[in-house]
Amino acid sequence: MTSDNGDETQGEFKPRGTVAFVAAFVAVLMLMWFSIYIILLSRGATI
Amino acid sequence: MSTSEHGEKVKLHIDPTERGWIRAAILVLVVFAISVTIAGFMLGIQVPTEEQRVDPRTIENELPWSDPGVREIVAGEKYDVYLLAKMWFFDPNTVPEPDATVEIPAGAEVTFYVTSVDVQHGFKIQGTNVNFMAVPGEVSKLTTVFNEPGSYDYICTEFCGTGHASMYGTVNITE
Amino acid sequence: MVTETTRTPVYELTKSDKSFIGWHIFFAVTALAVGSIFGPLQALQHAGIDLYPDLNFLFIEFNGVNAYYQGLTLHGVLNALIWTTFFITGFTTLVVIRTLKRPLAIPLLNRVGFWMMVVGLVVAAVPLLGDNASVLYTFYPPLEADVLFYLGLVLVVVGSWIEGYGFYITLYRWRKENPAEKTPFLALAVILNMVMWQIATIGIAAEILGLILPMTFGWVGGIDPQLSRTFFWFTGHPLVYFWLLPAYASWYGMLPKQAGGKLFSDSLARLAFWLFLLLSVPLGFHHQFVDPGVPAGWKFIHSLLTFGVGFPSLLTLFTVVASLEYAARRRGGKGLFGWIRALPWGDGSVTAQLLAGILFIFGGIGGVANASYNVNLVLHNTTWVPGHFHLTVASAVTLSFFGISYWLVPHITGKPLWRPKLAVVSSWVYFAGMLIFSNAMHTIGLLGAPRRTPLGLAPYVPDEWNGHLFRVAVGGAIMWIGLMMFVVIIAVTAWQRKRLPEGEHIDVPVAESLDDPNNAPAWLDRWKPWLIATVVLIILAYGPQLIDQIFGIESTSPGFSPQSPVPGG
Ligand code: HEM
Ligand SMILES: [Cu+2]
Ligand SMILES: [Cu+2]
Repeated sequence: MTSDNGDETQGEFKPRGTVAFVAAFVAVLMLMWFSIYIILLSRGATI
Repeated sequence: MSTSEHGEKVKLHIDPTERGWIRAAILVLVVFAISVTIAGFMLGIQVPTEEQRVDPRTIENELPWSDPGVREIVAGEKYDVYLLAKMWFFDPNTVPEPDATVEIPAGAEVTFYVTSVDVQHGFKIQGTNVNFMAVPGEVSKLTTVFNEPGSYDYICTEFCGTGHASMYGTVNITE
Repeated sequence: MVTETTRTPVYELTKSDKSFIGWHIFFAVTALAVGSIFGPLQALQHAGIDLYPDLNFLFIEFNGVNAYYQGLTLHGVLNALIWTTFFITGFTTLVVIRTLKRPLAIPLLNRVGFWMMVVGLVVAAVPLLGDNASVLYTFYPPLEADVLFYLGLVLVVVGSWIEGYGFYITLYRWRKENPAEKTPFLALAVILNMVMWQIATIGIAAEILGLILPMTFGWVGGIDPQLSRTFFWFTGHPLVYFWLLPAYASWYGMLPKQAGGKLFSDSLARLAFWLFLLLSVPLGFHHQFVDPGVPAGWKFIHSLLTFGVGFPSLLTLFTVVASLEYAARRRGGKGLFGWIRALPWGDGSVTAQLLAGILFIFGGIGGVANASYNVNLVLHNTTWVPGHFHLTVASAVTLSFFGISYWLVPHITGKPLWRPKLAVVSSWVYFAGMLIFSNAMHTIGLLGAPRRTPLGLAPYVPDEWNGHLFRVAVGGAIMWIGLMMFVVIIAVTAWQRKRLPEGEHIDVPVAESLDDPNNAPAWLDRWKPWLIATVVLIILAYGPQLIDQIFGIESTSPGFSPQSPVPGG
């Protein structure tokens, strides 16, 4: 069940690439979501 | 880390980097939640809400649905439009050879009331935020303002049987 | 090579277990192959290329424009309901036996459940093929299908419940036998998915048994369409998690091993799954934002809850990418993004799942937009929506199942994967087609194009849409080619004479984790508190509105055939 000897454990492995990946993801998410949000605002109120 | 057999006293261990991501992820979701709240409750872009129940079997015999179409509430400013969704046209039928027109001046506030006499239909007016289901037994209602003169199609957006693809109508917005 | 080959399997499934799982995959892939014929037909129709009259032999009785809807019903039912449910129950069976290292507690129970699903499929197929149930896979009343369609669906759902009971009892026995051990993550994940499904399908059971069958049998004069929608979407949203969670289980618990690494955090993987159990069900009103009979306040609450269920998916994104990065670094991957190239892209199973993940990023983003309350007004019932879910169920899920099949079928048949290189190509082709198709579908959706509509003959299509509709057709055709490659690879693998060399064996990939699972807190392995919290949250989020709608029921809508505007006609 435990990791074999000589392996890195979670503490030693720094997921730098993952941080870069999720940062890029958030940027794309925000960009796409807000572009739809702006379409919503441009089409006007409904009440 | 100290453990009992079952991990009774163990705390959830989270890698510090992932802990940072958890915070960021929650923040992103909160930003979206706040944005939709602003649009909904401050800018008046609302979804339909409970309006009125009706009987789809008899609705065509009762006003206002026995005479659907445009109602002028305040000339040039406020209009109501009643439309009946049917397999497979909107009544009053504005296409292909209009026996009626939905004509409204630009800049007026227009409220659409739509219900169905048979199956479920959809109702979406192109270029606006008016988009809802037409469900038999329920009245759907949303309001919009057409600022630009021209003709706007409203389309059935829910499958309603054989003739679904040709079910639409137009609103004419005049100067 | 697709997966590691070992000489000493950890736990060998019996021959009969393997063939039982094989039958699941057989029906799943057959349903996908048949259901997907209509995909490119629909896509080409959108671009004005109507092949239905030329392919009228596909229909028992060719019935003009109805053929489009008959095909679309088959496409939705066979792909979204049958391919998924059969694959998931088969995969779950394999994972339960292999990771608990014990046989099913009551194998007969699972077999009864499975064959009940098969009977259900056959029963539903009769009216579907006869154009007597062309009501689409959501079967919104008062559209009315032949009664066999509903009975068939009931048998499929109840059969899946019974298979679920078989898994629960097996887990219960295992826990009795191994009181000191934590449930292995993979077993927990797939069984939790079946429990969630059990809770979620109460909605559709209430709809069919309580509202639709009484109408169809003529016991009551009509139906309440609004209430039936509420029941339907009680099941409809968690349905998408039922599809997705087995793919997540593979990404967390298998893919890291296949990529040569380990699961980054076993505890957070478990936490994500418990959160899915808790949050998958009580948010179905986000499919009913534009319904007239649901108060806006409840819609808003369900929208917020949906943002909540976005959280475990965001957690999954980090944990899975970190696990892959760990694998890539071990393989010598360098750079901030360069490590991605070091992943084993030559392995068809890995490639399929990586591409599934990439497409799911966009599917997820679109999903957040769908769930965002008023933002839904922009895209509700437009082609954006099928554009979206072809990235989720037809990509994240379907491509992951392709990837799983590429090791699973060799595992259960003892035969080598036919043309492993073609397996890599198949996913890339499907991926490329999907990028074109889904981008075009999203775009015309924003321009206002309605879904569930043969746009090739709709009178209101403006010229502006034409270029995009053409891309729908091109992308759809390419997708179909990739999908057929998968079907052929699996069929030939299963039917070939060739066997794996003596003593060689393709094992189930089970990833270890970087943190020790036995160091996870106890509350990540307890059912009771999570189940209680789940039920309480459902009661809070659905109770008041359900009571309102059930006590206010008005069964005033008579049934309609989709072919006639006359009630019952
Ligand atoms: C060969 C690849 C495929 C192509 C070209 C394709 C194409 C399409 C198109 C164009 C539509 C929209 C039809 C309309 O709204 O009028 C559609 C609907 C749909 N597709 Fe696919 N599809 C494919 C594969 C799949 C797969 C693999 C799944 C699921 C696992 C799937 C699930 C669905 C569902 C659930 C619908 C909605 C049906 C409805 O609205 O009732 N598709 N597909
Ligand atoms: Cu329609
Ligand atoms: Cu949903």
